[in-house]
Amino acid sequence: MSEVIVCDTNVAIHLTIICPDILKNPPSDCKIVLHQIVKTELHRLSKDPRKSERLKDIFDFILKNVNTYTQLLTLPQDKQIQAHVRFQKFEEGLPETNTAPSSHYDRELLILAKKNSKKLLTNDTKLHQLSTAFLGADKTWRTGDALKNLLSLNSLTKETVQSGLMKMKNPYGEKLNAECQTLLKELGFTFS
Amino acid sequence: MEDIKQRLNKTAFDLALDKRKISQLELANKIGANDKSFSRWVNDGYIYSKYLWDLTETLDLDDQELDEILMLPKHKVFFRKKYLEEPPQEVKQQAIELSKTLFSLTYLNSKSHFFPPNLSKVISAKEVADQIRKTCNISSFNFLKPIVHTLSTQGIEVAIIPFKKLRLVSPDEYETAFSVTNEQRFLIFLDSSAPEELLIFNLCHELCHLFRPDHSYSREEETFCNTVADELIYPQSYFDLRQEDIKKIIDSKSQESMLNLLNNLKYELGGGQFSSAIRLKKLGYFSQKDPLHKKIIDLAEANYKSMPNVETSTFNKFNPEDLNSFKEFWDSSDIYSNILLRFFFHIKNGAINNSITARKFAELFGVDSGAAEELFNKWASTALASLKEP
Repeated sequence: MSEVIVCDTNVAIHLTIICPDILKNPPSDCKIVLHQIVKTELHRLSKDPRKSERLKDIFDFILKNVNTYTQLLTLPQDKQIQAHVRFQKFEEGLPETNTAPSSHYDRELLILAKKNSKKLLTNDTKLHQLSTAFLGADKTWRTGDALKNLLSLNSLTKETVQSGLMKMKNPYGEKLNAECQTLLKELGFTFS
Repeated sequence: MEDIKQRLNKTAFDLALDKRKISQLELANKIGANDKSFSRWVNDGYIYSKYLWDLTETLDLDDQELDEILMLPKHKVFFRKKYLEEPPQEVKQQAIELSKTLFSLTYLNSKSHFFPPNLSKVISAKEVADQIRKTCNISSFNFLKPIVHTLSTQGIEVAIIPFKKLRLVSPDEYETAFSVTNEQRFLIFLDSSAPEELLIFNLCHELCHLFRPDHSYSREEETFCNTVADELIYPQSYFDLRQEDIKKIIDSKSQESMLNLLNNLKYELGGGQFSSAIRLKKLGYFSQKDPLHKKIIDLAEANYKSMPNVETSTFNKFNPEDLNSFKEFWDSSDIYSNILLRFFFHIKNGAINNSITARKFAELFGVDSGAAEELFNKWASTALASLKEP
């Protein structure tokens, strides 16, 4: 079954370290895609000298080799503004979390995923929390969930994932969050 | 992870359904929820958040209906402006975003809900000032730091921030202070580009607005709040008690004695020479027609103009356009020690505790998200290192 998953910047970086082909040539049954707003954000991140120092080849790979996915529906401008306001209101009604409100970018991705009834793939704490609330827990993935699914579909091998995970910290200075690590440890992976 | 649920006001929800002649059953079917479960949730006063989007779209709820159904706090912004026009939407929005952020991060004081008496109908500025003193438990409004501290313990946050650098100014005019309330907590923003003396005055003015919520924006109300601010800093009773002495000094026609008087007022009541002189004028001791009085006021004003403003002393490194300087500001120990930087302390603390994301930080302060992320990583590793220290 064909499935499209909207991918956030942080996961795009992780997947490029672990299994770059998944973004370059995504399998149709687990098509992890980058929308233009994500690619623009990645481009912006690549301009930061300290980030670029660590992740230069990762940014270069994504920006050169990963096409943006153009088949996601977007809202006309007035509806988009209204959608932002609505999500801000929904967010205010959530049980108290003691966290700062969402950013404009967070809501752009939420709206995109909701409007197109797609899953959202993010490691960002706030966006993950909002996506779990407004898209549903089953429609919100982290890097670990994506890897698990790709493994179950045989789109990845355990060896590829393990060798990718070893590269995360060194040389790239990236770290998976605790929940992802737990999930991947349950699948038998180890971390450097 | 489980699906998340949130509060729903059944009465407001039923009203919205009635207006559209649609039943709960029909709606549940349209949004893909189990009709029996849906009815149970609504009766119990909640809904699963994942249905909210489809519910809102299906019913085409307007903003007010949504506020009522979700029982949302209403954010009201009161601007103290040089001119009286409504501020541009983007300025208002940025004000609300900053407020929501601070409300969510100052959770230690989140239980200190502030419920001031409604003094909207009181016509005596002195009476309003007395009530403010009593409710806020502040006897004198002389020095900014203790005022900020006392107010914060009662659920009123005061954030001193550079308005221009945070995009809180309109192209042709500027705001010097504003307050925001979500009807439970209050936040007063003061523009740092003024001497401390003026910040105290603006703070007192904003406090007055908080106690008079029924008044919409008007020139009369602004003037009234200015009078209350004067009364808070320079209580009329102080001058009444010393009426004869003050008159004697003024009648002496001695410039030196009058300047000494202003210095004494500054020493005893705080503020500065200029605001003391203005207060003497408003209370009828100084006359604009008297050349010597006018000269004293002018001298005091010149002195005021030469006073250092808080922005220069505290925010010279806060420059989102110069990342190195911006980072130095955030890494300075002043953030922890200077209560006037309370807003920034909470933001940094929130960053270290993962309560604010780098993206939100970047958006609020107008910096690149990559730079914000690097700043966050640095703070996180520093915090971790300090935890590991013996």
